[in-house]
Amino acid sequence: PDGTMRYTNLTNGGPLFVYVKDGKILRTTPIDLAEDDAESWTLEARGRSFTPRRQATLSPHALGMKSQVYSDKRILYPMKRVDWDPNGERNPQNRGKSGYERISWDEAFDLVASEIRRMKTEYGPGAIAAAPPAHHQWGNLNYWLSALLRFSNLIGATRVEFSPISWEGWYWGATHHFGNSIRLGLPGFYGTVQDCLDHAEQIVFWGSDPETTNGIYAGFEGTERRLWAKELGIEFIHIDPHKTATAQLLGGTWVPVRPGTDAALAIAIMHEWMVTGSYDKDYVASRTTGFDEWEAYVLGREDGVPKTPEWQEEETGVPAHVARALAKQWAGKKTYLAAGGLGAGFGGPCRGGGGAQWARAMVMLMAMQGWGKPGINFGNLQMGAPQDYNFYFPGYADGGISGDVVNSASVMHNYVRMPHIVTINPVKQAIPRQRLADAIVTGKAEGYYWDGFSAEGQFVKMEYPRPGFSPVHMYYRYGASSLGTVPGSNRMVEAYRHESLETVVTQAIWMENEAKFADIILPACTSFERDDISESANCAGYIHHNQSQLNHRVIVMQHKAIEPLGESKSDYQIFAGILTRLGMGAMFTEGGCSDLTWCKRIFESTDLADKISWKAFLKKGYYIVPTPADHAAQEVDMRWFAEGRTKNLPEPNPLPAVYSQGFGQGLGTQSGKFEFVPGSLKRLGDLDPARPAVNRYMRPPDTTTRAADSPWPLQLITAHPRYSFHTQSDGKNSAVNEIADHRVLVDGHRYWIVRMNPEDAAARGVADGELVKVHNDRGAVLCAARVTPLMARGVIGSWESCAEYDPVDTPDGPVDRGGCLNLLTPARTMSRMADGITPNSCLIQITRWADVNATEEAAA
Amino acid sequence: MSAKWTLTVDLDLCVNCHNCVLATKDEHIGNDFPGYSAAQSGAGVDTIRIDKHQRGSGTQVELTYVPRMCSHCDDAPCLKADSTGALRKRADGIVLLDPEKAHAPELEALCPFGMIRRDAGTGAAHLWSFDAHLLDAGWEMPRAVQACPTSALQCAKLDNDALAQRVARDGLEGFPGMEAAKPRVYYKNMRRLTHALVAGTVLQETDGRPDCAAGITVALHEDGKERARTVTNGFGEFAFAEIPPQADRIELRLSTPDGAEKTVPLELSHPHPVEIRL
Ligand SMILES: Nc1nc2c(c(=O)[nH]1)N[C@H]1C(S)=C(S)[C@@H](COP(=O)(O)OP(=O)(O)OC[C@H]3O[C@@H](n4cnc5c(=O)[nH]c(N)nc54)[C@H](O)[C@@H]3O)O[C@H]1N2
Ligand SMILES: Nc1nc2c(c(=O)[nH]1)N[C@H]1C(S)=C(S)[C@@H](COP(=O)(O)OP(=O)(O)OC[C@H]3O[C@@H](n4cnc5c(=O)[nH]c(N)nc54)[C@H](O)[C@@H]3O)O[C@H]1N2
Ligand code: SF4
Ligand code: SF4
Ligand code: SF4
Ligand SMILES: [Ca+2]
Ligand SMILES: [Ca+2]
Ligand SMILES: [Mo+4]
Repeated sequence: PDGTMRYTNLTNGGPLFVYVKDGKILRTTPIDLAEDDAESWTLEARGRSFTPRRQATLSPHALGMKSQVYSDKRILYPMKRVDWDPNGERNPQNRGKSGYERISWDEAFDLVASEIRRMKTEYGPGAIAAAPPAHHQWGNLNYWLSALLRFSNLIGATRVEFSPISWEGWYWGATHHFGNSIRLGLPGFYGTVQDCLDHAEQIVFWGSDPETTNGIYAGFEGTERRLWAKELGIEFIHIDPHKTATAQLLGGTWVPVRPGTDAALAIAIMHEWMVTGSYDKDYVASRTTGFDEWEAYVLGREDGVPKTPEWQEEETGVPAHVARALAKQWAGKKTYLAAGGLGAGFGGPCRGGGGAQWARAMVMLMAMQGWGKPGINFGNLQMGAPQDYNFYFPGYADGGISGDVVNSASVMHNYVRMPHIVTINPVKQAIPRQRLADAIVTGKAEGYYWDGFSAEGQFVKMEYPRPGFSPVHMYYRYGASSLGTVPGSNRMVEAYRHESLETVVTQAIWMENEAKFADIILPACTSFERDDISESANCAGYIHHNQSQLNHRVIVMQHKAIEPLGESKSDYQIFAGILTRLGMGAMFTEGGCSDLTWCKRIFESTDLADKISWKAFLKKGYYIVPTPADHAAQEVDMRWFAEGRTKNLPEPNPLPAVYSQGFGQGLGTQSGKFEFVPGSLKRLGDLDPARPAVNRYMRPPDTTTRAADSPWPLQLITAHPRYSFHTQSDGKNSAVNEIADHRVLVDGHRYWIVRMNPEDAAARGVADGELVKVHNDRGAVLCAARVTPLMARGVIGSWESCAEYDPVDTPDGPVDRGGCLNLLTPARTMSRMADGITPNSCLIQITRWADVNATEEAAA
Repeated sequence: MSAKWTLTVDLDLCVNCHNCVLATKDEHIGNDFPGYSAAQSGAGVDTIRIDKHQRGSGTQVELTYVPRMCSHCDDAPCLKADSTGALRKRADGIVLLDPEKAHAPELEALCPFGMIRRDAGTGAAHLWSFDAHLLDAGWEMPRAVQACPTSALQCAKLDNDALAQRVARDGLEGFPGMEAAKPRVYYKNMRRLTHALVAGTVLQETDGRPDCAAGITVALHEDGKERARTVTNGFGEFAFAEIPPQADRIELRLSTPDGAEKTVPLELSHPHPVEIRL
């Protein structure tokens, strides 16, 4: 009636209705389910019944997307750096400084294709590196694991490999104790919503703020379930240097801890359980190994130091009496441990120098209390909602159209269900994303692969350059977020300007962050301007059944709602254009499939095609997968193990060969039991001394020393931003920038914020809203101070992942006014062979910007 | 008496997520709704804003997030003072600011509660229109209410009787200081703003070292009379969330399960964490 057309789309923060009028997006809203959509489930617990709200809820960053589509930072035309001449001077030293000129798509495609050809002819395989972001706009077609992977396999490229950045400590640490290579070491979650609401008496949140991170990709679906827990009288404890949004909503006891030292607190809790005998002795005896050896360390028989609450107080700052109370409270109540935002994993502490120690301690705590018994499990009601776990629809790690059966989960279902041309990357060279800058600047890098199939897979080394392959001379960057998201990103600037890098191509939507370091910029469009198809929160392999966070499984047709802005194109079309120049267009598009044709092929490969016709789906835009009526019968994660039964969960790992005792018998560890001292780490011998088989506490490098005269007396934590999704919906005139807890407007510029305790602020004369220089010997970032009692003393809280990089030269040296705090974080690994990122925490100082300037003026 | 739109805000449920703010910006940035509201420019105007209010301190500090927007007052001072003719109140209770007259310079000052805001880009004045253009088109609720994940915001079209019933049932209150204007935005759990929070921890010595004292009865006395009573939790924590701000001569009387007692005088204005050692 009002002349609008209603389309659907899907974001990192939930599905949207997209209302379009006269070719423009008018509004985007959450999807309220219709009457003819599948019924919502009802869950009975403690004599009450609970049914979720019939809405697919949205995160703030999803509601900011319209402002991003129409941002004035959109790149509307292909561009070339003015002083980059492929046939003459390339001026790498000017990257990030010089401007751009508009070129046509024909020129752009020709240029990129000829550079690809030249790299291969002049240098041979390996000379081109392709680097994706961790995630971007949703879709099974236009995703980096789909179209980009197909493209880079077809041209042959050195892979820029992630470490498991979201998982780190779980992957490098916890995995070894319970043999869980699926989900890269995260605990499972099946049936835990029902079990928690039925039986749990308390939830311990440890580095877990689901009201901020929404698990991952999940809108506010878990919020309602946590409010039910509150209604049922379940109690809450929050161990975090920040009094989180979750702690504020649910209430409960806040235990602030010095970042990175958490393992000491956990070990002291175990100490208390050991000395008071308040742990599950039968479980430990029958379901675990290595307890004696672990106990010898904890009680001090090994090193003469009992790991008492007093012992941990010095490390963590948590008063001994609080640690003792925590141990007692925990042992006395059926407890769900919410470690990380998923409840079953992640968490700021897993991404620090002490990350592996912490995650290892988390699973040990649970093993001591009978992990898997009723009311005793991992979770915070974020994951494990009632759902149909058998209905097949692919998630992004299923590989989309990549045809890559090695580097995606395509081979599991996708490739067989949607037969398409296999692609294989013949370049057996890779660079860890963390070491990319070193690889370019020093010509060398090494790291370790991630592997989702066995605990030992992570011991396989990656070396650059690999014998017989060329070093990298052309960098194909997809997205433009690194300066905000890669720890120690200050190194990237030098790398971009290194003369060995002859060509930098960036395929991006917005002119932001590192985009300005490119030689050629290819403008991609947003997901509102192209067709795609996908399921909300389904990321497949990385976190099998990640969509279990949702109250309703939602499959979405991501309509092309508006025409691409300017001359921007879908990523798929950009790749097709380049590959056509290289004689591989038809192979890439399989004979000219459009975006929409691929959507239909994907649709037909899924269980959805049995439920609704393609036409009806296109028209309606979404489908709600019904939940089986017997959902309450879902087996609870680890219950089979606690009860010594055969494993019976809907997940594909461990592989048959990983079992020691026979298929489905026990865990994927050497013994088949939970190992307090893991066999896999023992077999490693002393190759990785800082990750010993016995999880001894070692003070991580980036914690405040007790010496008062350090130049860097504060610890900075960079958690995941509440209002943006990493760089997405930040900067670029996003409506999100207006939120005073996201950015603050000072003198016409919107500054990234750092939260500080009133006492830390007073000690530096800093007032709320004032500009401060956040600095250490790696660099300096200009931020606005948010003075708040929600931060523990000595800890500065901020977010990682800002979109803007805006370096300015000041009399005090260069500072970034964009807010890239990763310029200050360490690039070091967790231990020699645990190749994880460790940005949480880093040591810094905060100085009032007005004071810096006053000092400068006095000196002048 | 015809039914009028009413918004309720539950202060226990607002999590500062800003979905209401962002949904409202999404609706109004770049979109003209003739007769209802003018398009907002750039990053928009905060016609809804989230204020903060702090109680308590230390680990027991409490922040309350307070969504504020035009309250569509029934006895609106803005309307009384308006000489521009831009403001009008509809039969369904909604106060609208005519986009055609929104450039009048005096508009911002007409709302004594600061709920008329000027768009720095276009110069037009705005208030939260309750998304009347959507309600008139058959939507059940404004964008802010739809996007609120905790249902802290709820709306309903109620006649005066139904409203009075709901006010009594849910203990709803208008925003302090706005009573005379008869606002149609009501707050639930207002005690978070109007009352004091007295919280603390009790410790006791066991084997020569401090321990959290669980199970201690704490009674709060005002002018010698007991006002409230609670028991410390496993961390020795106690909290009283509804102490009238004007209360004076407060003391806490503690008694342990084995009969020991202790009395601690308190100053309400004293913000520091209360740590009591038995
Ligand atoms: N200090 C610190 N650093 C951290 C972390 C931390 O906890 N602390 N966490 C780490 C974690 S867990 C993660 S996952 C990473 C995230 O790090 P990144 O993955 O680097 O972050 P994003 O902002 O998601 O990057 C997405 C990029 O893709 C672009 N993009 C979006 N959609 C499209 C599209 O359709 N096409 C194209 N061509 N481009 C698109 C965006 O503009 C953006 O540049 O950050 C890590 N960094
Ligand atoms: N809005 C939003 N949601 C997101 C994302 C986003 O960018 N924005 N990113 C998504 C992605 S890719 C991921 S991987 C997940 C990440 O999800 P998480 O890993 O769970 O999130 P973080 O914010 O890193 O950490 C959670 C909490 O850990 C605390 N913390 C930090 N260091 C320490 C410490 O040393 N000890 C203790 N005890 N606590 C500590 C922080 O204060 C924070 O409250 O979030 C996902 N969800
Ligand atoms: S075992 Fe089952 S899944 Fe495998 S081929 Fe046979 S029927 Fe298909
Ligand atoms: S959407 Fe609801 S919970 Fe979020 S800030 Fe607004 S009122 Fe508060
Ligand atoms: S809140 Fe202000 S603008 Fe709104 S009706 Fe009341 S007086 Fe008028
Ligand atoms: Ca789309
Ligand atoms: Ca603002
Ligand atoms: Mo991540």
